Amino acid sequence: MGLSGLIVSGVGHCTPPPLTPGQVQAIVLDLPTIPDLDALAAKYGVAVDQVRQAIDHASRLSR
Amino acid sequence: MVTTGLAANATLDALRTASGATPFLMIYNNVGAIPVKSAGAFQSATLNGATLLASLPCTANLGSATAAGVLTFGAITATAAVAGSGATPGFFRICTSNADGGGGANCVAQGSAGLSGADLNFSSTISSGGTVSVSSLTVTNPIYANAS
Repeated sequence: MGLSGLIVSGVGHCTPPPLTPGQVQAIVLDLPTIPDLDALAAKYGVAVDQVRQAIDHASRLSR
Repeated sequence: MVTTGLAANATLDALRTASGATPFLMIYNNVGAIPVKSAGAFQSATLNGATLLASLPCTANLGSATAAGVLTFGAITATAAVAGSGATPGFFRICTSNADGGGGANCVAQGSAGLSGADLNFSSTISSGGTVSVSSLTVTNPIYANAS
């Protein structure tokens, strides 16, 4: 380790970029075939929370 | 040997000085083993296949002078992740500039990064195009606690 003998303590974060309308549509269309949120997130390279957001968004539109 | 607290602080202040006026916190992914030093420097060739995820500008000389054996980084500017860089962080480097993504001669320190149990722990993986930030970063010299 570069910082030999030293104690390093850091906290980082990453806020994902908003999904594009195309990503939202693709995720929602895939729901019937891939009900696993983790698998959907991995397939589209987004966070699981973003998959949930896409589903919420689509369900609001369908009301 | 017994050292003074002053000496412990000076060790970390040397790191501050070496980081220069416009230091960067460079974050890389974890595709391979964390690189080791080579010939006294962190060479670009020893990135072990890792790629840069984000480079965050730091306060000049990393922040204020070391106090009580603790170097507390000043403001670290949030930055967009490198496009196409979605990945789990594996290690970070403190560099005098972001001109060389591999670190090379401009790298003055290196530590581990990850989601837990690392020197710098992220709350999530890095998303391509996401905003990367570091809310706190400290380096403690344990010698200070035992100094006279």
